[in-house]
Amino acid sequence: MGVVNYLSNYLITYTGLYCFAALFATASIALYGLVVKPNLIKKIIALTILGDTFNIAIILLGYRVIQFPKPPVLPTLHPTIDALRRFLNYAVDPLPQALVITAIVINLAVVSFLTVLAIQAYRLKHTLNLNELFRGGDDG
Amino acid sequence: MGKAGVATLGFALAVLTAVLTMTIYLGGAGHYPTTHLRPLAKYFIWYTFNPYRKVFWAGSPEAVNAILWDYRGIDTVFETTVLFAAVLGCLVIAKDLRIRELVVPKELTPIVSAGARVVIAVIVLASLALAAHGYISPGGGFQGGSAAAIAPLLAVAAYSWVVLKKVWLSTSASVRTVGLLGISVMAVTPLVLHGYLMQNQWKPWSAFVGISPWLGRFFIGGTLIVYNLSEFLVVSMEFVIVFIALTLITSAEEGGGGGG
Repeated sequence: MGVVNYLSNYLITYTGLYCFAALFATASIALYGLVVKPNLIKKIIALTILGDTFNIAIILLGYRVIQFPKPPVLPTLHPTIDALRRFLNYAVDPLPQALVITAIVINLAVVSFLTVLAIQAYRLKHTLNLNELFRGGDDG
Repeated sequence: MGKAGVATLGFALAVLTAVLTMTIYLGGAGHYPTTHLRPLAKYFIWYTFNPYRKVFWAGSPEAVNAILWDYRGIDTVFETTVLFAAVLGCLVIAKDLRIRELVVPKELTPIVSAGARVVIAVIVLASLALAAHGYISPGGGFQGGSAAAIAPLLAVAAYSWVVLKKVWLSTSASVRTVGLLGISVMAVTPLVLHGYLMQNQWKPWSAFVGISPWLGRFFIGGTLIVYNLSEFLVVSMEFVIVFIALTLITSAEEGGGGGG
């Protein structure tokens, strides 16, 4: 039993940390793609990966390490004080979720705007390569 | 970028990853992993549907929706403005395109069209339910609107973009305006009645009596149902507009039109 307890404590303490490390590594790779790749579409893909990674990280920050965490929705319309107290004891943090749902919609709007810009650039210059786009701009 | 530059960048990003992880480990974003709520989350969870302390309550059992449209309502309104501005930017850039009708607007087979009709109806109904139930179950205007945005994509695939352009561009713009009007009217109404902007429930420091979360036997969640349905219209229609703009641009390419 001692081993099981030790293992579960270890998992609870470090699983989240490993998740964060993996998420930040993903974000770093996305940043790398954003900076190094000259293709506009690849830049946009890297940007969406970056945004979604940090959204997941924020959601993960709101999580509670307890045995039965509940969503932040009160299951009754006529709550007693006890029901409210149970809600307080088991619900996860609602604030990150509220912030992330707005971030997702903004992200979608920005990505669609960037996509329209990229399509327009391709129409005018017939390339999506940023280096060639700037070279073409210098000539014309 | 040279090889040395890429190596430097890679090193910098590795350091960034390590530093961010250490920040979490050392408690830079609050104690993690946590078994208890942070004080701010405690406030929201405890007061969101607390009929015994109606001074601070939002009248919504769903804490996320209460934060979105009551506690941090003005934040969400400005966020809708950002969405509006982004879509406006899309339309402004796509505006000078010379649109040509496709010679043969290609539709898929009748089986696909009939199937798509059913699936589109299901998508619209399910997302509407998601939006209308936002104050008692997980969901809300954003979630419902984003789910409904799949329907026009399916319509483009099944019926070709011509249908979408002719029927929906003006309609979706008008419906979006209705949604925006709903949000602004609901936000300003308490102000006119001597309350404060976007007030939902009764507060002792405001003359506005608030909007009851109960309508007879039915639970409507105060102003939240209006905000959710309006936001559903806004988000879904803005995405329809964006999809139309995107398909118009690509179609102009395919049709050999445009050509700067």
